[in-house]
This record gives sequence, structure tokens and C-alpha cells, in this order.
Amino acid sequence: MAEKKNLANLEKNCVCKDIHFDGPIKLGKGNVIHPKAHLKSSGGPIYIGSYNIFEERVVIINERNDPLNIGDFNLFEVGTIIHNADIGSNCNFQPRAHAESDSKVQDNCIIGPKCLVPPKVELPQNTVLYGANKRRKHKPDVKMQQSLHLRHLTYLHEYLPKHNNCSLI
Amino acid sequence: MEEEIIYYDKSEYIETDSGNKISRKSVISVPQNIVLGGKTIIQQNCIIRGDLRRKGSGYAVVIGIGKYCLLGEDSIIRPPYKIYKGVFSYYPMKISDYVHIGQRTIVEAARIGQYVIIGNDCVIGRFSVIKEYCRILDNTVIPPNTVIPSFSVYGGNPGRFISELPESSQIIFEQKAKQYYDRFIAKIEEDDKKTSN
Repeated sequence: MAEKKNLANLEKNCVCKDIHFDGPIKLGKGNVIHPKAHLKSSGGPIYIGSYNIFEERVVIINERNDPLNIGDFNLFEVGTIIHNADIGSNCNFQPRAHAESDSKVQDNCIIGPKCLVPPKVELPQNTVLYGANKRRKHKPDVKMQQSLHLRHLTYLHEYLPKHNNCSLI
Repeated sequence: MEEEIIYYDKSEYIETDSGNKISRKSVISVPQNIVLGGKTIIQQNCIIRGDLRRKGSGYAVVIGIGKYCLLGEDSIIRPPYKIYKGVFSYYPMKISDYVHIGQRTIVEAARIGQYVIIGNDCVIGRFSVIKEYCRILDNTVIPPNTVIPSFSVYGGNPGRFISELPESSQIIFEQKAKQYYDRFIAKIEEDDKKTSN
């Protein structure tokens, strides 16, 4: 119940002005984009779902002619690169994660810091990628993550526009 | 141990009274919440987030940086966040004196002690604590909530203890930090040279 109440306040996207935003990109609702993010489409459109957070230096590029889909409740931390890759929901990309060309990341995945999703690889649900040797494991539960993400979102929606030049779309 | 002098374009950097050299190309949000100790160099394309702070109004130190620090090119300093007693908030970060942060490094630590050298392309996780006299090698990933003891060398992904540092490292690191500051000088343009002659 409490979560639904929170979501009611997050109808608008909070997008900072100091970003690179180019090409046909469609945002859902309640997204937060920090300054210095880089979203660019030189081919097909980018469809971004709802309630995602994009931190600084996140790069999302679509060069294919097919659309690039990103689900809901994702957290893209500093320096993540998404290159022509489809992303599910509830994913967490930790600093400098990299999803290479034509890869696919399904729901509830965690990509650890500096980890790489190789080209043309499809990651199944609930995968955790970590370490230098690309170790994998499956995690059972994700509820904890969700509540943190929601609180993070509400905080950013409240405080980011206070200090940054933001536009609420 | 003479190393070559690093010249910078004088128009690109702002020099404050306490000797801080800050690139105009860096992104510093809400400078009121950031404290610099003096003689600190902030190089180009550095991002420092002073706007992410604890709830409540008024003045608060979000990021404290000591003296003789170096924030390399493309590095990102952002405070860590967590839920405590059901309330989400960002927490302040403290960086002590003589800390070198390499290029393209992302720092989300809670505290970094004195005389620490962090290499290039590192990721320092949320709420990690780095104690005094440490060295973090290039390309290291320190996971969240790690505590790194004094006099240790860390490296790898995930970061592991590699070796110990000698007790003399304090002097070496201090010299290194001071020398870097002295080596980092403005390029004197030829017109100025002529007028001074």
C-alpha cells in the first residue's frame, strides 16, 4: 500500500538540463536523469519505461534500426554503457558496467562494477554478474532492492530539482 | 626523483587564495556544501556532487577534502547513500590530506584517510573506509562497505589485499603529493615572457 502511495507522487520525469539527449527517445514516467548523462539514438527509437534512475556519465546508444527497450525500476549507476542492448526490469547496473552490442539483459539482473555483458549474449532472469572472471550466480529475492529503489527515487525527485537546473516533463 | 613539470593552460584553471587549482571544465554542483583544504588540484571533467545530502535545510558539509589532494581527470566524487531507520538519505564523505585520486576513478567511499594513493580506473564502493597510508592499484574494484586497513596495497576485481607498505611510506607519499603540486604550474605564454624581460 505504502509503495503505491509513493508512486502517485512520481508522475513526472525529472531530467537535468546538462545532458546529451539526441534522437527519438521516449520516456515513460517518474524517471530521473542526473547531469552529464548521454542518451543518443542514431538509428531506431529508444523506449525507456518508468521509474528508472540514470546517474552521471551513463551512455545509452542505439545504432540499430530496431527499437531499444528498457524496462521499469532500473538503476544505471555512474559510467554505465548500454550499446544496442535490450534491458528488462528491476536491473541494477553498477558503476562502469557495460552491455555490449546486441546483448539482452532480462529482469532482476545485477551487473557488478566494471563487468561486461559480451555481445549477442542473453542473460537469464535473476543473474548476478560480478568479479573479473565474469562469475555468475542466481539470486532468489529482490524485494529488498525494490524498496530501496523507491525511496531513492522519491528522494531524488524531491532534492535534485532544488540544486540542479532540471525540467519536469 | 625529479619528474617532469606538468603545464596547464592558465585560462582553464581558477586559483584560489589558499592555493586550490580548479579546472573550469569540471562540474561542481552546489559548491557551498564542499570544503577544500587548500593546495588541492581538481582537473578537468571532474564531477563533484555536493547536492546529494542529508534531508533538512541549511548549510552542511557534504564533501570535505583536505590539503594537497589531487582529483584526476574524469574522476567522479559522489557521496554514498543508504536507508537508515527507514529513511533514505545521502551521507557526507570525508577525504583527508595528501590523497591522490587517479584518472577516471569513481569514489563513493565514506572516509578516506591521510596519505592514500588511488590509481586510475578504480571504483571505490559505497561506504567503504580507506584508512591511512594505503595504495589502491589501477583498475581495482573495492566492493561496498569494505574497510581497508593502514599500510596495505589493494588490487584486482574484486579488490584484495596484495602486500604491505613500509613505515616510511608516509614520508614518500607526502613528498609525492607536495611535488605533484609544485610540478603543476601554469604555462607562461611567450608574450608574457617578453614583457617580463
